[in-house]
Amino acid sequence: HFALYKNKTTGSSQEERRKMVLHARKEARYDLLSLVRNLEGESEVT
Amino acid sequence: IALTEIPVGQWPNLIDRLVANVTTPGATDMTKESTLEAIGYICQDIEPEAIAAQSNNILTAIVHGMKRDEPNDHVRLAATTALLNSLEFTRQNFERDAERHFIMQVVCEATQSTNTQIKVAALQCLVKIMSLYYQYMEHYMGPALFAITLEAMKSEIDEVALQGIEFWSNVCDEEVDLAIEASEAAELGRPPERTSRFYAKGALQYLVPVLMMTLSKQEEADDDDEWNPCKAAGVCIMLLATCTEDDIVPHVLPFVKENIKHQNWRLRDAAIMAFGSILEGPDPTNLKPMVEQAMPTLIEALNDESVVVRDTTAWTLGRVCELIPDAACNDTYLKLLLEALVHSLKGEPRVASNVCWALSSLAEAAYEQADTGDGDGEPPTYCLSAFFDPLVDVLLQTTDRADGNQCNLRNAAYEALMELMKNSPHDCYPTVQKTTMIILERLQQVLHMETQVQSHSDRVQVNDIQSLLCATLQSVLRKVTPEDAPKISDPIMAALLQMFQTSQGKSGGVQEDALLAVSTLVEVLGQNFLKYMEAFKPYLCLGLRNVDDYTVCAAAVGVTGDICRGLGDKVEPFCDELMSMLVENLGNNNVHRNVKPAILSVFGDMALALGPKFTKYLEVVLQMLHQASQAQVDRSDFDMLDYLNELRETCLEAYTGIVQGLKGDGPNPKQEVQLLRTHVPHMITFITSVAADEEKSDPVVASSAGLIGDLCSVFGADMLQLVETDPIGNLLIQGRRSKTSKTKTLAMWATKEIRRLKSNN
Repeated sequence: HFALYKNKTTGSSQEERRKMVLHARKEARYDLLSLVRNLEGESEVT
Repeated sequence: IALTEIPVGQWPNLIDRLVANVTTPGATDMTKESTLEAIGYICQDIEPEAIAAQSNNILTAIVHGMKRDEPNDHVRLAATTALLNSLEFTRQNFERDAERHFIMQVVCEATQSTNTQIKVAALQCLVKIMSLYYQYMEHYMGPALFAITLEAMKSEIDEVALQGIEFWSNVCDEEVDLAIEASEAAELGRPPERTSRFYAKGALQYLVPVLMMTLSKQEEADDDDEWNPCKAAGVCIMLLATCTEDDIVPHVLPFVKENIKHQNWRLRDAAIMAFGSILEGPDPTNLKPMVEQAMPTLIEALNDESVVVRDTTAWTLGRVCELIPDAACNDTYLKLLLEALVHSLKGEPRVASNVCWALSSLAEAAYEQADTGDGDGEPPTYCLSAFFDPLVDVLLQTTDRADGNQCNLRNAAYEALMELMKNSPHDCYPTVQKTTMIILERLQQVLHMETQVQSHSDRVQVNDIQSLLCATLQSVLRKVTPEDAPKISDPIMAALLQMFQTSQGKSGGVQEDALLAVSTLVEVLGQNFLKYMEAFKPYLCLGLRNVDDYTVCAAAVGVTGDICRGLGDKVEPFCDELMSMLVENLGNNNVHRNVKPAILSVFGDMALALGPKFTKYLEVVLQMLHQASQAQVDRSDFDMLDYLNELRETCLEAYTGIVQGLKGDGPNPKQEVQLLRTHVPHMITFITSVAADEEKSDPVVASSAGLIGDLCSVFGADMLQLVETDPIGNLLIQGRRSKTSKTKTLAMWATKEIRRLKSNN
């Protein structure tokens, strides 16, 4: 469990940044396609 | 040689010969030891399936060497080490009661050896056996394992104590996994395949006092690279808290209360460490009053005379801010806490680094507290607003500290700064603007320093700083308003271009962060980024060609997609060159596999951007997608299953972009989309195979639903016979029941498109 301890004390910031950019990209794609598909008014609940 | 030959069926009598070396009466100790070492090395590195059939033979030799009556410690140690290396492929022996009893007996006996090395190796075996064969351990836990490991935890010999603690940390890991399995099974309305025996919960009353004692055996000097029983005890308490939840609190709390103000710093530190370690696991609602009660003592302890106590206190307050933020973000303690944290930020790097982490968590918690969650953008203000500007100021000072390279301090300070920027409400915007200019200024300064870099350590530091500045730039740019972005983009892009120029062939980290900063700039500038394309393109191409550092290549691929979305059809003049590099990378075996799914997504982005003008790339791209959509992986490897899902999701994104792009955004689909008609059956076959996969991810379900809806809206009633099938129907049901709102929305929309076709038909 040394790796867990090391992770607790250092963390991986570049990995976090990568994830943040990838997330932003996914959101941007979804938003673009939502406009094209006219999903704005779609209910999210069945 | 054995590792090479055995897996291909050669040297079939090797294991028999080795076993005979150990078991033949009269064999010398030297032969037995060397042979057992050889068996150990083979077991350590060979593919388990290549040798599983011989596990009986191997175990015979190992157990022979491990027995209590083996007089030679060298032989016994070699045998115990060999057992440790063979545990993975002896499952069939563990499944048989008699054989398991015998193995467990020799291992338990070996833990009682007076030889420390044998004792440690035998304890390591128990640690591994617990993880691999938890379900068979009930018979041994009460009579043997509990006492053996508790005794080991109390040992004065660090190596022995570490294994005792590790055993219980592993028990916690197993039981946390089993709890997750149980809750997943309950959700699906079926019994779990394996069940927890709740050993950790049952042993709490015996484990906690030993762990508290071990926590108070701190080293005064801080060495992150040293693993000792004190640190292991801290991790074990954290795991016990996650595993046993509320049950741990009454066992730990008396020790905390009794010692948190003790005159001995070791006990004060152990009490605070124990307190910080149980903050994750128990119900936060139950913890909150206890944490609130402790806040004044913790704030005071930030000024403790012992640096170890100050360090642990800063870490514990970081945990409070992260896990029970309401105990910190309130009128009673926030001001006091911030004053104490800011004061400690000027202390030793190990303390200041933890303070930075606490500030990061506080910023995130404060923003979340103020965020109404109604999607109306950032909140107007939050509880940190009054302190925001001075906090940013003191963090900027911290990033400039001469000792910032110790204990990760500079990184932690920049990280905290980024979190403050990311989680800033509207009324802090002037500070965001000011910080943007400071970061830009620093970037320009550090670029001037390039010529002064002499040593390797200078180079590492300058690279780190450039990387952190680019990352901070991303966080501020994300907050800059669309009106302000074009006003500051020229000097930012000039600095980034200069960085690309000077970082060629140096650090991948700098280039990756610089590319990620460009991504953010494209996102905020949109078509205004066009004016930088001629200057940026050479560096983008260098990134796309950087096969040696796949993180840079992946970042460049990502920027390419962002540029397509940002520039729209204005990207056309650059597409031939970009497309040629993307296609080349897809076919290049030297390009890391993680880059390839991102390339497929970019095909979709480019198709959406170019519209009907994408037809010139259509044939080659569809061929690539056809190949990628048929990929199969080793399904026993979880990483590869994740990869397969990612690959499929990006294939679906690419098909979607192509369908939408060729269709155009007018009310009637453009003629070019008919070029896809012959490929529709393949797309549906692909979705059908995805639908049948029980391990498909939620995003794959969402993207499949999106593509089904798109195909229906473009190709009309002809689609009905293709999509009205059980697999696709089930996929859409799964999507409509998803917990993710996007997946649900897309599945409902696709279902409506199908219904619309049916009612029109």
